[in-house]
Amino acid sequence: MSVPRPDLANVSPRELMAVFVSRQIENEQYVAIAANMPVTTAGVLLANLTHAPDLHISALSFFMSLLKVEQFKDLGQIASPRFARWAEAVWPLDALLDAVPRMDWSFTGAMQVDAYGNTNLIGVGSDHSQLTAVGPGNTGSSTVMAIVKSYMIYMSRHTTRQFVEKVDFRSAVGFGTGGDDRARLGLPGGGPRFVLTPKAVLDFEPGTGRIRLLHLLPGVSVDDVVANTGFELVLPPSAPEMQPPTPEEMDILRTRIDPEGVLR
Amino acid sequence: MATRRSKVRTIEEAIDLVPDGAVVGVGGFITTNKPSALIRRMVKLHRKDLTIVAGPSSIEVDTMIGRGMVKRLITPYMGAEALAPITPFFSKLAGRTFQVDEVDNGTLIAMLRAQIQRVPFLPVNVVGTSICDLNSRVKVMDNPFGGPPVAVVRPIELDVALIHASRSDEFGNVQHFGPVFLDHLLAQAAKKVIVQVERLVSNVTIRGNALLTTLPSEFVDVVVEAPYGAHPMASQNYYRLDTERIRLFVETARAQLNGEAGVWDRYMERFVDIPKNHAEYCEVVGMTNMFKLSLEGKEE
Repeated sequence: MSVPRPDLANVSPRELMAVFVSRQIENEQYVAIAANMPVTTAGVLLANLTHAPDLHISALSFFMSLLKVEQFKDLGQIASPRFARWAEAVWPLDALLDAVPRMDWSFTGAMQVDAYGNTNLIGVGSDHSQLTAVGPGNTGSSTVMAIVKSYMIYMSRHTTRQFVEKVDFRSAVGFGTGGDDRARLGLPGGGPRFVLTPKAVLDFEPGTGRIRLLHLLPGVSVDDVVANTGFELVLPPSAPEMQPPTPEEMDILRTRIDPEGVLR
Repeated sequence: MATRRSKVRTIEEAIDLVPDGAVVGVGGFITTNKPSALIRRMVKLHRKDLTIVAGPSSIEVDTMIGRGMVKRLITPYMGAEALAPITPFFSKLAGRTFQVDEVDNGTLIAMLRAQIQRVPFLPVNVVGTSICDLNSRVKVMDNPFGGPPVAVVRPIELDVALIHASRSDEFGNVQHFGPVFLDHLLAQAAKKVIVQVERLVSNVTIRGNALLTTLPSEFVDVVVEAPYGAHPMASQNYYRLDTERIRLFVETARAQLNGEAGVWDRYMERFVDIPKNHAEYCEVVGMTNMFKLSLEGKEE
């Protein structure tokens, strides 16, 4: 019996990104899920519920496995005592920060990201006391992204307003000014690996640390991505579409992880 | 026979200990375990020129900003996740009357630990970020042991820490039925520690569950009993976030920011200015509404 392939046209960009996140995570790794990041949180859950049953997840002050989740209803609000039901251990926030060197993956959002993956959650404008748009704050990103082994940057929009030559403020250092700048700054972590956007999945060119096109999302052209990126995007010889989600991935994503359709 | 002194006070007595201009630590995390009842009293009294030092924050701090009470703000986050990615008054652009000292969780933690340990500064992994430029307590220096430069952060002493917890005895042995977040660091970095709890219990009850004690009495100066005291925020093991109230706050605050006179004032009158005390606040919210926030509802 053949299972029908899910129609890619009906898979939202956010669902596709969650699937991409899931596929980067290996079993037995240690990953964090962060507040107000439903797409990457869904990706972590999807990994846990498919190929990574031994995943170690920390969220806020909890360590948890989400393998037994039947219907997850906290994608929009994980900073909730309701979420505590999954905790296998409860740590203070500073102890969790001390554990970041062990962590394989973390995630950050940004108002702006530049050609080297430096991210800005502070605000937009040339003067900190006269911002033209205010961000939510650095959260834990400055220290965590300095230390964690690898991280992904999630961008909810992809235009030249978010993808800029130089960020107005740096909440977290990606590859700094490029090349070996992370080593020069003494940052122990490995830096950003991927940038997820509604148009594409981007990675980083080895050596220079510049953002490079990896996958186009369905229906998006290279020209569209280039035109909406405010810096010179590194273009590989070809940018294949990502492997489509499997029926199992979509079924678990829609019925167990995102029954309320936050990602659709 | 000598007797042990009770630290139990009223909310009113507790907030009398917090003067204008104080450096105030606020416990909890985003929308959980906020000392809302204590803060409402400060807001009612229009305490001003405050320096607020807090972990990830939300509308409890935004309310103080809205009332013009905050002079300086030191927190890594101002939002309520999906309900308000950025809190309204913090996001106001023009005519900001308060200074923001940029931190992230790690910088804030190092700042508090430096105070607790009585060291002049502690290193923190934020070299290359704007925190080094936008916070006068953070400097970049040569590493005396060689290698790349290091960012260091000066200590901060809090005049008072305001904390919400699950229960305490009258002597200030405090228990959280969940994570302490940064409450233990705020308490140790503060000259005075005020804890509001859902329930006061006997010392025998505390001793029977000493593994749960998060702040021993040594670290606590004042205990206030405030059932539903974190409302409209969540309280560990007691009740969840009142999302309808958060939406109402965001809506009325945005109306104020858009120049619609009176909407925010009426909100503040209803929930802060008219209720004489925490009990009257709870009556305004209504117990039917409070009980809907039980953690084990049918929808769970």
